[in-house]
Amino acid sequence: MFQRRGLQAVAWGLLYLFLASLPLLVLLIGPTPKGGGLWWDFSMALGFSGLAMMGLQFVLTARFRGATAPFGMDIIYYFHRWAAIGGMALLVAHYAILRVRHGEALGSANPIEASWHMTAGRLSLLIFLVIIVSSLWRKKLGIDYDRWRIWHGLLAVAAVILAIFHIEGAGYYTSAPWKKLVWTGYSGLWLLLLGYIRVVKPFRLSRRPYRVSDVRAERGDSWTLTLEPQGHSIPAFSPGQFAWLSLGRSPFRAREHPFSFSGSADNLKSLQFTIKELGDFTRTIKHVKPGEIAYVDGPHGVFTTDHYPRARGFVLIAGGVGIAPMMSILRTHADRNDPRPLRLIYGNARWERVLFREEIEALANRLKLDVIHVLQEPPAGWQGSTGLLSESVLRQAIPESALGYGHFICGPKPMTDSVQRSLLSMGVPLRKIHLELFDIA
Amino acid sequence: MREMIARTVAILAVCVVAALSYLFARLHNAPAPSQPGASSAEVSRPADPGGDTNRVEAPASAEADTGELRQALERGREVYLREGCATCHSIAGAGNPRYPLHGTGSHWEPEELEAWITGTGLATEFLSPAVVRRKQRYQSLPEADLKAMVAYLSGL
Repeated sequence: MFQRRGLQAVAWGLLYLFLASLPLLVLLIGPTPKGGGLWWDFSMALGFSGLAMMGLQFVLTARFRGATAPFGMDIIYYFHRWAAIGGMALLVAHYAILRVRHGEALGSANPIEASWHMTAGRLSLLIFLVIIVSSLWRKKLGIDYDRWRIWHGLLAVAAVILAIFHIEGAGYYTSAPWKKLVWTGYSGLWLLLLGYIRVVKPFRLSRRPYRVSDVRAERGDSWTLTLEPQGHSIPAFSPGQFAWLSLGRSPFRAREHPFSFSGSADNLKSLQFTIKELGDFTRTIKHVKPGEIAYVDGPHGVFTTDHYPRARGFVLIAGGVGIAPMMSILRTHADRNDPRPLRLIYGNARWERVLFREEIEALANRLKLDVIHVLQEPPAGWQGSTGLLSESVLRQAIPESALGYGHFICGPKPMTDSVQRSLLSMGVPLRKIHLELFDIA
Repeated sequence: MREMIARTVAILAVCVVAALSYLFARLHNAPAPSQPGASSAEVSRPADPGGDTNRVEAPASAEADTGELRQALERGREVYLREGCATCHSIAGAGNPRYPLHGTGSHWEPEELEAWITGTGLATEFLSPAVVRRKQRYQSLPEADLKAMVAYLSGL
């Protein structure tokens, strides 16, 4: 299984490189125009490549299950972030080389005096920069997630369209009609992809609505929503996977948020999501009324024990509401009478805020499950582990015999980072460590 | 660790794409195979460093006794720069190297140059419609500016 996924990952990686360099390959076919000097052509090639990488960003976020499967959604989003920075570096290098080596060719920066295609190029570069800054430092800049998400998409489209105009205007490499056609088609594909994400997918979702049947208050400012499908079956999902949820609005409004399924994957009647009040959207969950309409785009992700049928057992490490996908795993394993051993290490601030603690206790009787609660502020007389999920706590909680199990981690990013480092230090192989991002924005 | 993997792969991808870009530039600038009977100088003509100034001044001293032509040439150069001609053309290596204007004056009559600049005459036959449209914008230049630019380019 691991080997097959490794091969798939390499294949997707090579396809990415091929698509990123496709513009250059196409421009090299047939009679090529004479060179303008090494630096000049290098700068132009960097411009084409940088734009190709930026265009491919649409593909990375299109949620193609086949493409994300070998990696996991977290790696795809990290790659999306770093590819944007890399693409930006190429575009900046494109401009910087021209500025240094052929400054006169850039002409006036004043949009009134400059030719429109040069202004389009400058604007595109500026917009890409705004997108990156507003994404990397969204929280520090105090930008609301929903607003950011809408503007992120709009600005990305604007920047790519302006860059395409810039190239069409310059038109040197694409002067041959067929090259122009191929280049326009290639660029058009990105925009078609966006149309698919923003129009086709929401349209499909609109045909598969759900109705909220229950809103249940849980411990620790969390709520469990139960959704029932309206006139269709629920999608088959694996325990630990997640979906993009939009509530009470049209699926075309692009106000959707990713949440892990918390119910059993063997429950074919309803879907459950357990959501903690953490941000603007999640704070509104408690006001959701039974009967409201919801849309679910999923399942997504590879954070699931179902991908490892040969695993001898699993170690589940959760922090706070990171228990949601673990509950799906525990409930599903219980429904399936899965005999494999499970070890749940669950970190929380206080005992009264431990989500699902009664149900976990009940599940321990149905499963071969060991539960280790770790509390930062333990009550008087607490006999269990205390503090954060540090390496020393994990060494105590995970016996040597369980180091070869699949390890699933879900919680706030500092916690998942630290637990991952500890597990590696304890000798758990990287391929046996699986993460779910708590906060991808 | 997983973020590091993603970051490493992204950086590697950028490096590969940058290397391909460099290769692209090398291929575009590979020396052309020498033709029988053609010297390398004929195939690839190096830029004439400083040719711009020398050639601009030459007709000024040879053909005009007054400073009138010299003024026109300077004005022509100003118009050339102001109108952003260097985004598509280069003179003595300065500007877009794709379409050097080196030797323009020895190949074109001033009338032909003016027609070419303003996207009329031969330009409509040899240039793409988009470029012709862009050049036709210069039809709105003041007559004196256009003449000055033609005089300047004639001196190259």
